Formats: sequence, C-alpha cells, structure tokens
Amino acid sequence: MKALFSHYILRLMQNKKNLILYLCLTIGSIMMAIVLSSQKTSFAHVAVLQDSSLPSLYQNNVDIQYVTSYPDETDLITKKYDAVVEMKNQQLSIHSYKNDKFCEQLLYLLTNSTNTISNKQHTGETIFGFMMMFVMMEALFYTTLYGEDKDTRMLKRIGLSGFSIIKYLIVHSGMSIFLSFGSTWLVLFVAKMFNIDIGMSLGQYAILIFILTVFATAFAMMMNSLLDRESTGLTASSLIVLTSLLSGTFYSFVSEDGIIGLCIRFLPQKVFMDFASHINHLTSTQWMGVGYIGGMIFVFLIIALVMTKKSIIIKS
Amino acid sequence: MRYLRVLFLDMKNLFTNLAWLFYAIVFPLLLIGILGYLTRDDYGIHIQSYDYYGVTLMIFSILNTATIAANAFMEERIKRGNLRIVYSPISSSWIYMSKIISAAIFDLICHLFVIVILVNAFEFHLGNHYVSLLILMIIGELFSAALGVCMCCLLKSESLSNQILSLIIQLTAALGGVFFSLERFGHMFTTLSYLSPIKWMIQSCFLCIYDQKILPVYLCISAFIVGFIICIGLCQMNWKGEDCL
Repeated sequence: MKALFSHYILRLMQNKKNLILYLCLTIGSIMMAIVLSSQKTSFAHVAVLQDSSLPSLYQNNVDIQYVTSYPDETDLITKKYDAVVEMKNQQLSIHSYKNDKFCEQLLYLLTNSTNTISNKQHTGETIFGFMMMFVMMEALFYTTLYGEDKDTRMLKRIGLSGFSIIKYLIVHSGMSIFLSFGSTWLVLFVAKMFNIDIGMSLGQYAILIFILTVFATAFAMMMNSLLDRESTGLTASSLIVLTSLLSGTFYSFVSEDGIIGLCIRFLPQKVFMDFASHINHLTSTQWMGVGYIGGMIFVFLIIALVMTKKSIIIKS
Repeated sequence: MRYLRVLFLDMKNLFTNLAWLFYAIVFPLLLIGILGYLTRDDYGIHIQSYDYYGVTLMIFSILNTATIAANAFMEERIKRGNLRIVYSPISSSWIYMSKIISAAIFDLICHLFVIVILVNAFEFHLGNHYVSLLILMIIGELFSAALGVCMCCLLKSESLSNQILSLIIQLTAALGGVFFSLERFGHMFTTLSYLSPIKWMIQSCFLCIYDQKILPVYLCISAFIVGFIICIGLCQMNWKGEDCL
C-alpha cells in the first residue's frame, strides 16, 4: 500500500504542468467569487437618453447610466442594459426585450421613491458555488491515473499480483480526496490569513469541501470505471459543467418551475448549495440532502468497484 | 487521388462514430433548449432567450471542434492507421491536414444542421448578413480544428491535450458570457470578459445580426485566419511523423 502511495505521488509529479494549472484555477475561481460577492446588486441596469425635459429619476433600485446617443441593440441583448429609457411626447418610454411586467415594475421604481430591495447572496455561498465546478474538475484530473491504469492493463497486472483491488481503489480515491481538499482549503486558509471576508468559518468550509471532494471523487471514479480514458474527460467534464450551470452555482439565473425545476432540485450541486446556504441553522431538509449525497457516493463507489473487478476478470 | 482517399476515410471515421455525432448535434441543441427554456423570463416575446443562447452556444460548439479534431487525430485506434500512412507515398503533413479538414467539414455540416433546426423550431434570428456569418463559421471551424490538432502535436498526447483544451475553452466561454452575460455585473466584469476571445466573437455576431455592422465579423475572420496559419506552422514544426505516434 505504501508503494502504491509513493508511486501515485511520483506519477503525479511528472505532470507538474497540470497540477499548477488546477491550483491556479482554484485560486482564480475563489478570487472571482470574492470580488463578485462584494458587488452591489440592483433591480436593473438602465440607459437613459439625456434630455432637458427629463424628470428626476430615483436610483435606489435601478442602476442608471446617462448616455448621449442611442445604444446598440447588442447592448440590450447581452444585458449590458436591461432597458433604454427616453422621453417621447413628454412621457417616459421604455424600450426593452423583457416582458411587460418588467417594464411596468421598472417604470414604478424609476418614478416612485422606494426602499432598497436587497437580495444579496451570502458571501460564503457565492464562493462555495464558484469553486464547486473547479473542485469537481480537480477530482477528475486526480483520478486520471486510475483510468490510465485501467486502459494500459496495468490494473490487471496489479490484480494478478495478489494485491487487493479494494485497497488500490482506496489509495487512489483517498489521494484524490486529499489533494483536491487540501489545495482548495489551503487557498481559503491563505485568504483568511490576509483578512479577506470569506463568509463562513474555515471549519464550516472544511466540512462542505470534504463532502464535496468525496462526492466528486466518487463520481470521477465511476466515470473512469465506466468509460475509457478518452471519453471520460469529455463526458464527465461536460456533465459537470451542465449540471453546475443548471443548479445555479455561478449565478442563479434560471426560473425554477415546471418539471425541469423539479429535476434541478435533485442535482447534487443544488443540494450542496442548499446545504451551504443553511449551514448556520441546519434543518431536517438539509440532513436529508446530506443523506441523499451519501447515498449517491455509495452507489458511485459500488459501481466503480464492480466495474473495475469486471474489467479485470473479462480481460484476463 | 491518394490524398482524397485519406480525407474520405477520415470523414467516414468521423461520421460513423455515434459519440461524436451526439457531441456535435445533440449536445448544443440540448444546451440551447434547456438554457433557453430556463431563462425565458429574462427575455420577452420579440427577442427570445433562444436568440441569445443560439448565438453564444453555437460559437461555443464551433470552438469545441478542437476537441473533436484532437480526438480524430490521435485516438488510440487511429494512431495505427496514421502510422501506416507515414510509410505510404503521401506527404506526412497530409496526415494532420486531412484531420483538420475532415473535422472542420464534419462539424460544419453538423452545426449547419443544428442551425436549420433552430431557425425552424425556435424562430432563431439570423439577420440579413447571414453570408458573412457563414464565412465566420467556416473559418472558425477550420481554426479550432487546427488548434486541436496543433495541441496534439505539441503535447504528443490526445487525452492530455483534450483536457487542457476543454478546460481553456470552458473557461474562456464562461468568461465571454456564453452561459450568462457578465455585463450585468458592472464595469470590472465587462472589462474582464473582453479578455476572452469568445466575447469578441459573440459581440461581433450580435452587432452583425441586430445592428447591421459587418466590419467586426470580418475582423474576427481575419484574426481566425492568422490563428489558423500560426497553428499550421506550429504543427509543421513539431510534427515528426512516426515519432509522434
């Protein structure tokens, strides 16, 4: 077992380029999340055409930019501005691609003094959501060595040598958990040392990241055991990106109604986000979520084990 | 004729692989459908969210040609075929050139198919200058196929180059606002998003479709041509026939 450990580290060290790349990505994602969570959110960004007859507009909830010429339609499509406001026949006219309800609400907020609506997301939640995808990618990278062993028939040799396959899998998943957990947590630790607001305590992060890395490793091991080396990277990474986006880990921009909304609630990333947002006062829903994640981890690992054993038997 | 034969076999190899057909046709359609459906409240009736995601995700899939080209070039079972071509009376540069061309044509056909479905099913707007957009698409496919093959030549390994490529593409895509526009997060993120070349492409496509400005599209095309030439040059310098296989 010790030999396997040192072998793993030796092989990983041959691939320093990727190690550094993933470390940089983790650091980058966390930094981006920190910057993003300190941003002010508002109901809408609006471009107002400058006009002498313009009445005074309230800026409590709306981010207003005064422009001299009419902006490109592209700015509306890419959401630089949600709407363009101009004076037409002594009345405010709103040009927007959004629905009528939005326009009415915007007009109300512009012309009436209201309190600030705050729906700012918790800092810790944003940071955790951002790094979720990268942690899962990291686990995928750390388990490629297992996929390599499987494809090059090294695993068969190891199996024939009498070394227990369960031990082999434990070493590989253990190393993957340890490395992805360590690198992510260390970045947060350094951030904390520099007195940057990271939202949650390091202990809470440790719990969250630990569950996440175990889950990510189980998922990566399963994907590696099911597919060959070439398709694993492609399939697993696109799955990770798709599910992370849908669960709103970066930015919850999706409306959660209908059947798809129901499906999204069952995505593991969504469960993680829910757990992170209620970390200070956990209820039974969150514990059920943890149980759900635990069950998924168990199933993934069982599939990985069975498939690995199968691949050894058939080929030998 | 011999050269065409190699090209034809490469094409056949791509078209008969279900996984790649799925990746090139179903995956973008699925993404556009799901993301567009979920964000339908962000847009109205006149311009739908499918119009935004149609453009951005098509660009994303065009760049993803790189991974398909890398796969078609150095997959284990194709390496053996490549080795045989090295010893046949064909210029060895044609091995990667034919992979680039076949991957680009394969993805071009798949993506055109996707666009036809989009236009018919989701009333996807293409504007009046669709010829320039088509040229951008063709050159874009060629560039990304060359990029994938070039990474393979540099790294000598398909899985490694695919991992790095998909990571870079996904990162620039997220930064460029493929999945959701970063512009609403304020000035800093807008500036950041302009670091990503995908943002430039998206912006120029929207300018062409909705503002009738064609110049940015041609700037993009020329940038792609320069990139394509650089990639081919790198391939030529690093490709040493059987040593790479």
